Amino acid sequence: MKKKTEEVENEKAMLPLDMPRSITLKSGKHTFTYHLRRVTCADWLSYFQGIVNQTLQVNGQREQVFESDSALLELVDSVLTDVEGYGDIGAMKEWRVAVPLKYRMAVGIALLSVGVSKAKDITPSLCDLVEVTLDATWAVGGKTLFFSGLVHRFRQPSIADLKRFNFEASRVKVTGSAKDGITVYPPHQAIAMKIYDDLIESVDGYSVHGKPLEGVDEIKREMDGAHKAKAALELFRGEEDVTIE
Amino acid sequence: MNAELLRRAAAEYFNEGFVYAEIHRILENTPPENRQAARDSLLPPRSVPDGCFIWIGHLVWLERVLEIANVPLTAAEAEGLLVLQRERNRFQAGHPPCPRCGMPNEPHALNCRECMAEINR
Repeated sequence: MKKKTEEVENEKAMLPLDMPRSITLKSGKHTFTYHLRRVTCADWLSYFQGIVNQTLQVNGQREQVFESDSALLELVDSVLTDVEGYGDIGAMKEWRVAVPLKYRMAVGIALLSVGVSKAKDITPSLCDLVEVTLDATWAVGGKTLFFSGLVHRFRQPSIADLKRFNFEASRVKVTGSAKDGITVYPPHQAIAMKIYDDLIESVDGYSVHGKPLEGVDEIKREMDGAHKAKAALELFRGEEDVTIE
Repeated sequence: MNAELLRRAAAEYFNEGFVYAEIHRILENTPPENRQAARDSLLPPRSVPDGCFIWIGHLVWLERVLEIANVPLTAAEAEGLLVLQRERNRFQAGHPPCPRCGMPNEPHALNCRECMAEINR
């Protein structure tokens, strides 16, 4: 299947966090629209905690296991409210399960579509707050819009914040020995979501009820969980492209 | 984390650190495609799961932070730091430092493995 989504450069418009999301997928002559309820922070937390990230050691051989598809499908199934393009589904009890797996995965990937901005014109500067800029796609009314320059401003993380992040990220679950053992790694995104709420000061580029998102309490309550995790993780990412001249 | 697992992980962490400089020198002269295999064969075998070393890494970082700042500790961290300190002391007792450069050496070494200075036993 070749997915085709309409992408619109949408620099000035704000990302409407509270608008119902509907994602349209095209496959050949057919068009399918998936209507979703709002994805809450609890939904995102459940998704992040459902990602399996383990190291298995069997007879001294190490095997890395990373599996996120099941958790993503669970997330999609829990927020999917309606579909168009399959005819009348009113009589079906389990229509969510009947939706083809590849389309449910495509919807899930669309929900996860947020990343740190790659814009080159952002000049670093020293200030009281740390800015993280994200780019994201967000599907509204069947159209997938591209939003760039979504700014998150955090107060500078303290040593206690850094320690808390390291502590939580290091809380692996270990069983067995090196020869036959399992290490289960905690999801960093779940930790980052909590830290986001503690450090966030303001954001730009988001709206709720047509008005810009303002005030710490409103941001904590309304911000999308995937955006929270992506922005907060960036706070603790080490510099990777620094060279001494 | 199980205290015995943590103790063994700390002991193996210091042993890995001890051989790391030598392994690093060997790896520099190893073709890139063979480095991973060489590293696996040169590093001392681990007897505890990898995850224990993630926690050890956090404790080592915390130890450094505590030298410059006062941060509250959880019970697990405090206990872990004590285990780390005990295992460091045990390692240092078994690997006396070179009188010239300070690098730890095998207890029976006659010359420092780093600066080659003679060690009087």
